[in-house]
Parts: sequence; structure tokens; C-alpha cells
Amino acid sequence: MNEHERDVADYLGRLRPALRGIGRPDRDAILDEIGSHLTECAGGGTEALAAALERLGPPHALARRYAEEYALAGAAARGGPGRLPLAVLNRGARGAAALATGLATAFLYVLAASLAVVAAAKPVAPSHVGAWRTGEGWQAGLLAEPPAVPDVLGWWAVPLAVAGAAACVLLATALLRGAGWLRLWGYKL
Amino acid sequence: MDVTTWQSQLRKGAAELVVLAILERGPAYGLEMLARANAHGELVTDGGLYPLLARLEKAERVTARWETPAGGGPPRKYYELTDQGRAMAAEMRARWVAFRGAVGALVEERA
Repeated sequence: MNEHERDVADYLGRLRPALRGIGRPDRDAILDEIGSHLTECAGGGTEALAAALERLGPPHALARRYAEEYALAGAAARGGPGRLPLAVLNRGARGAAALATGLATAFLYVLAASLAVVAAAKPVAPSHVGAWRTGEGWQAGLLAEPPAVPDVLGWWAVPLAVAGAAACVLLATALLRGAGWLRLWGYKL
Repeated sequence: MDVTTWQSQLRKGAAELVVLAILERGPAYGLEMLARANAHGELVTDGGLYPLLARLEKAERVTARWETPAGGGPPRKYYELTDQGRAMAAEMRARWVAFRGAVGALVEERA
């Protein structure tokens, strides 16, 4: 093994453990491609290889970039409500706009969950779920001590809560999908 | 945010469009794409290109195959656009032109 081959092998040897969060077939493919890249650069001499290693960056930084891209690709493909916010919030560390998107979508998912609880609670405790107009204003939701006035919504609370929850999930998912493919400042144009 | 960081964010945002635009002209491998992308200034970094290509492949915007160069040397991983990738490139280009026009009208007017 000559010096260039040792340098390439050393870089790949440090890159491999840094990629431990990525599945083995993908990890092997990454190492093959980076190895090919560095080997071809080494053909230009010692300085060319040194420049290529510098441009790639430290193995742990390159591995982090791969992990971020895989997380975005995987989350967008699966469309999972749990994975997308985590992937975008991770990106949020590198951009305030992405963080705002992550927080907004997290809020929407929490709101959706709350509305789902309201819808589920109506059949169980019908007198405690609804909307009430009192002299001091409106109260709505799941209340331990509802006011002593008629519930305005009645059983309409169920479909309205379900529709509201669905709308929140759709809006949050749309926000995350937009943030997922356009990385410019982490928000959708 | 300082100017260098802002410029880095600009490059990251444009990188995907740059890579798709290069592949619209035909299959290419990593070093080839870097040479074309950076012919007039640094647009795509080595450390940014390969993870981006991995995501595009996962998202089925590109396909890849390994080829051994006729003149010898290590095998090269060539990428080419899928139909999805071509559609994405066209849509991104249209939005880029509109965005560039809007920013240019404001920024260049002030300059």
C-alpha cells in the first residue's frame, strides 16, 4: 500500500464508524463512492489528494451531512408525523427558518392530538365536552366543570373536532414536506 | 448572520437545482459534476455533493450505475435523472427564475 492509498484508507476508516446510524448497504455504498472519489483525486498527486481531503471535510462532518440527508429523504418518503418534525428540527439547528417550521408543525400536531382527545371524550363524558357561551365569553373543549348553560355544539363537537384535527395534520405535513425538499433557508417558497 | 454564513446558505439552497441542471445535460459522476458546477465560482462543495446525491437517489430523482473507465482508474458512479428528477428540475428552474427576478429587481435597483 503506498502513501496515497494509506491516506485514503485512513479517511475511510474514520468515516465508517461515523456512519453507524446508516444501514449497512447504504454505508458500504457511501464508502465505495468516497473511496473512488479520493482514489481518482490521488492520481493527481499528493497535493491533489490533500486538497480533496480538505474539501470533503472531516469524516464526522461528512457523516453528519449524510445522516441529515438520509433523515430528510426517509422522513419525506415515509411521511411519518413523528419523523418529519424531528428531521426538520434537526435542520433547525442550522437555520432559524427551519426551526420555526419545526416548532409550528409541532404545535399543529399537539393541537391535532388535543382535538382528537376532545372528539374521543364526547361519547364518554358528553356533558363535559362542547362549547358554552356564558356572560363572560366563550368556553370550549373538555372541561372538568362546564358552565351551567346549554352546550352550543352538542354532538357536532365530534365531527368538528375530528375535522379540525385532520386539518391540523394536513397543514403540518404540507409544511414539513415543503421544508423537506427546499433547503434554502429552511422554508418553502 | 455574517455574509460568509449567508453565502454558504445561498449555496446550499441552490445546490440541488445546480446538480439537477447538470444532469439534465446527460449522465455524470461526482468529480465531473463538481468541475461543471464550480467552473465559474464555488457553487457545490465536495462534502455537500455526495450526501445530496444520496438523498436524490433515495428520493428516486436520479438513478446510478458504476462504470470502469476505459483508460483505467477506479470505478466511477454515474448518475442520471429519472422522469421525476426531470420534472423536479423544470419546476425548480421556473421558481428560481421568478425568485431571481424578484430579488434582482429590488437588489439591483438599489445598487
